[in-house]
Amino acid sequence: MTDPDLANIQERALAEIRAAATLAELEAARVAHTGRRSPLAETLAGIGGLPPDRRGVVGKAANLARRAVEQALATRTEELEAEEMGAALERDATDVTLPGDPHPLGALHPITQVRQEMEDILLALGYRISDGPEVETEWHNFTALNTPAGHPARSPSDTFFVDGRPDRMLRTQTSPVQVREMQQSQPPIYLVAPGVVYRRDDIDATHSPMFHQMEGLAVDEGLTMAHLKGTMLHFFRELLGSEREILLQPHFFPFTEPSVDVQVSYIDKNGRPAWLELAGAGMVDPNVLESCGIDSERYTGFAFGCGLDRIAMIRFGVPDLRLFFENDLRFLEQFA
Amino acid sequence: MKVPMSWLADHVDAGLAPDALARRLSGSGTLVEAIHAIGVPEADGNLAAFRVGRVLSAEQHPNADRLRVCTVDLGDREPATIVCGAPNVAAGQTVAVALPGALLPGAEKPLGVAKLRGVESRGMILSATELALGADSSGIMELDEGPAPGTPLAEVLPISETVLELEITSNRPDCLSVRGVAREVHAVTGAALAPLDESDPPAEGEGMVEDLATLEIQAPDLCTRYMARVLTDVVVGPSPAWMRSRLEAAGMRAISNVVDVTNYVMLLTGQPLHAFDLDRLAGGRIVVRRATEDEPIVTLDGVERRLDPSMLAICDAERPAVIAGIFGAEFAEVSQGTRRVLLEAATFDGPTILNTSLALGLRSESSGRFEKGLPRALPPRAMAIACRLMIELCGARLVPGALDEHQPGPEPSAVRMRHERVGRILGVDVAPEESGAILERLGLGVDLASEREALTARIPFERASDLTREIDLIEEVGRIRGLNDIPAELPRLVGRGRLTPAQAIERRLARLCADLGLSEAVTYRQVPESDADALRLAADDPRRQVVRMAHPMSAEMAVMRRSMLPGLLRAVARNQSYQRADGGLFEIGRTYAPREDGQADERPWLAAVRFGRVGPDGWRDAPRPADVFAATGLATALARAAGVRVEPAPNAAPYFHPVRQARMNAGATTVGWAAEVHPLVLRAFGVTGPVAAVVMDLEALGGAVPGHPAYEDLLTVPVSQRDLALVVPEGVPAADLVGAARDAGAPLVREVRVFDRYSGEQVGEGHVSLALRLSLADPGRTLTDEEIEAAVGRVRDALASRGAHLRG
Repeated sequence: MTDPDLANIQERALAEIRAAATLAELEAARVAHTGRRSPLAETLAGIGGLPPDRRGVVGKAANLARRAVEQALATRTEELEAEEMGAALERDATDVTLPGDPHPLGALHPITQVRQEMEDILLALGYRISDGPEVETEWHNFTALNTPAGHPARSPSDTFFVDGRPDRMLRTQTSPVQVREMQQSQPPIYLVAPGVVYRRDDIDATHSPMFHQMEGLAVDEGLTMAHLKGTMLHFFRELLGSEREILLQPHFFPFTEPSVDVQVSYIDKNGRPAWLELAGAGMVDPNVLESCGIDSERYTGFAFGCGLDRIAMIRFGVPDLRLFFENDLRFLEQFA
Repeated sequence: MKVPMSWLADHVDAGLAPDALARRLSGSGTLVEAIHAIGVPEADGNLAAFRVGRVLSAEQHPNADRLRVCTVDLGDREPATIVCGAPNVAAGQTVAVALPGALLPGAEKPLGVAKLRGVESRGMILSATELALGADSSGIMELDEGPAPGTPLAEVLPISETVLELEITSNRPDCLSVRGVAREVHAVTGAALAPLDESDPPAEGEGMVEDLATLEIQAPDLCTRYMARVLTDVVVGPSPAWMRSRLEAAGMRAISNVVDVTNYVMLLTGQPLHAFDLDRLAGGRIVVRRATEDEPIVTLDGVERRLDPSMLAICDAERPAVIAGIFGAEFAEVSQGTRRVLLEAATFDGPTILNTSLALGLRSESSGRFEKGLPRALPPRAMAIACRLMIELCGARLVPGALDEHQPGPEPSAVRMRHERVGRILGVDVAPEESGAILERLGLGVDLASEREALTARIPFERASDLTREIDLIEEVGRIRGLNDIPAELPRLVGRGRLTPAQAIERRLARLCADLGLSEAVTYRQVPESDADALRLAADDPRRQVVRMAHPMSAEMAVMRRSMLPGLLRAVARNQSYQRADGGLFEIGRTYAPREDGQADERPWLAAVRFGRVGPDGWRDAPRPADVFAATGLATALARAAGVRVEPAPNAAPYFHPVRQARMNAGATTVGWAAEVHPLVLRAFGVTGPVAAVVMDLEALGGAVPGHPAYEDLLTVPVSQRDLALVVPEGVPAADLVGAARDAGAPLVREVRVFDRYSGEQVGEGHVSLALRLSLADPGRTLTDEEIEAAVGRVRDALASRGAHLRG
């Protein structure tokens, strides 16, 4: 056996490996060229029969040839596998523009969305969220809030009283939460009370016997109308946009004095600046502080309240209050 | 309250355009809701096209029976020819004329030169209606002879008026008057306030009032003052144009001079007045008393109304002549033939007037003022002004003397205001002199000199009910100064602003529901009482106890809800009514269980429903019906989101499917329910099934939340799994077996999961096959085979003792 044989063997093997078009053909080539009966294997097996001076040379050449063939086999295997996987993947072709698996989202109610946003603004100012009973005492809802007996709001035409209990009623405002909180704790008090309230209004586009309010209360040493104004300005800028301005217009509420309407600037349909009345507010009346056991000389405070439904109507462009209570999924799912 | 600007200007002339004045008023608490321009438009010199004319001749139109051809002196060199259709036009009359080019009230185009049946008409002789001065369109308006032809009509008649419509807050009945509003304008602008002549006019009538009428107040608690005067020789007729136009501009109808005077003085002073025909008052008597039960009165509108003893009546010797402060009876009213008038100025108990007007459904300008409680010092002022006008306008003679009975009035009060306190409330320092000047302009008598640190103010009777405390004066200073120079500051941050755990759970659960495809509903919490029947509650079910409304809006909103389900089921029915097949809704809210003290135990819940089918509804997956497993799965996820692990257990509520409902337990505590809604309940709400429902008790759930989880090393140790195949009799709850397996295998068995369930021939009738997978591990340590086998053995024994046959 001579060296040119080995070169020949290697060359034939490599050519066949290169020519293999499938993994099966490659396997046949592997068996033919590296198998037990292959010329290469036989050459290696025959080394022992060579003259000692030839053994080293031939052995080395044979091993080199084997390595080259094995290398070629590995490379070609990888190539063919990649080709076959590619072909297989091609067979998986599909229309990727078909819709993916649906994960439909529901929506929080628009009033909840607005409420949470308002809560978050005030939480960041150090307020906590509070709530009280909806079936309230007349004392908490009216008397403690400085609403005189005989006031129209206290009549059964405006307020839902509990049957058989003329001193119990559905709260008409979230303000009684103020009273309960002030009775229970001493200043500093910073709280926000969102909730459901009830008034005896017929259902129409802007009225509902049940609706939502949010009340804020701050009682501390040294609070003035400047703090009320600053808080309202901050609140409405955070809620509606940093370009908003506010205007305080004197008004009357029984439980605050001075009382104001809080007007917020907006741009009307015709592009003109205008004002929108969005909250009622004022300095907590000293009578209210005193009836809750708070020293009105030492502490002052302010309160503000606004209608969540109205602000949600404005925020989302909802034209009719009734949509909020009809629970029509065609409406609700728009807010997801 | 509607205030004509020209009337206001009689009292205070701020020299401001209406919108500027409106801004000042609104900025000080007297909200101007609207500014109305009425009458002849003022723009572009239009007023100049309206003149006084004198009819020189009025001849029959040659071609038209109903038309006259008039020559009218308009102050020009030549008289104008004007064709007029009014039946009452006649030579010698002084009339109101619109010239060609004039824009009439409400007209879109100016008046042109018209040819009427061949005669050219250069202008128009006007009726009151055409000038928007009243409802009389029967003919042209005849003017007094005084003004010369050619005089601008606006100098003679209030043909153009601007009216401010004000919202008066309930604490300011004094501003339900032109005079009160004028006082506000004075305070805000500083413009001079003209004095008001409230002196008694000369009483030149014959006799004394006591000879003609008597007064008796039988209900002094409801009538705090009653004042009456008598006028004789009254000639009833129309009131002058200026008064009619002011009344109409203020939103009242002109009726006759006598009635108009009472209304005019009410609008001026805020004090309602009533005029009786004295000759129709039986016995010439005025008796102020409570009405008797079912006492009839035929009011001016011709309607017979029934009174009761909660109501106050002004009666003659026989019967009610007025429902006090609200509405008069037909019989005693002033009419064309009235010669002697008894004029009333009184004050009544406000709530009584309010309740009476609500009970009778009668609100009037008068009752709206009385119901707020008028000061006792007001009637003499109104009476004096009204009597003066009656003398001037009705030719009346005032009988000397007045009937006047009243409770002692409150003493004039004085209120002290510390200067330093003003700044502590308003947030801006106000000089004592400025405060003092503001309060003086509001009519208070201010003493600045006696004390350095405070002023003392005497309160006029008009404001006695409203200004009683220091804070009331501070508010006045604040609102008249204006609130807009107050700086905007935030309080120092001292609160602890964060959600409570319960609030955080509520938000987390709402978010999860929405992320799982359910939308949040808000349903009315006032519901029909019949919901209890619709929910199939037993007759003695405590949930039939409800908080009931005394005066519900309707039977549909008669009671406070005891269950979250009806509202959601109604919402499902609504959605199904427009062919919505599948969907999900949830609501967070309370139910109301009545308490002994009249209030309610208000418990918070989250309720959710899925109707139709559940799960991905795409082109390659079919959703499944909304069944009990949709419900238990949702309930489990909701509890888990709160940090609570729950197991379902059988349950028996009447509104759920009898055998497809579960309670969701966290240990021994039930935190929710998950079920298919009973078909009969669905039928009662008009809902097509299936509906899967979940109700989570948020209080119980909050109470079941464990503390923060502590890390356990289950990462570096192998977790061993063993599967057990059981055959159990049907009806043995899987959750019981899972729980028993977990208890028996604890602590090494960390999880037990049902991964297969089969029923059929191989397991035999009445049995099911369940496959459980146990996961065993001990944090930080690898278990030995012996430990694992021992734990699994304990599980096998426990399952066997519950009737499970273990296979393989």
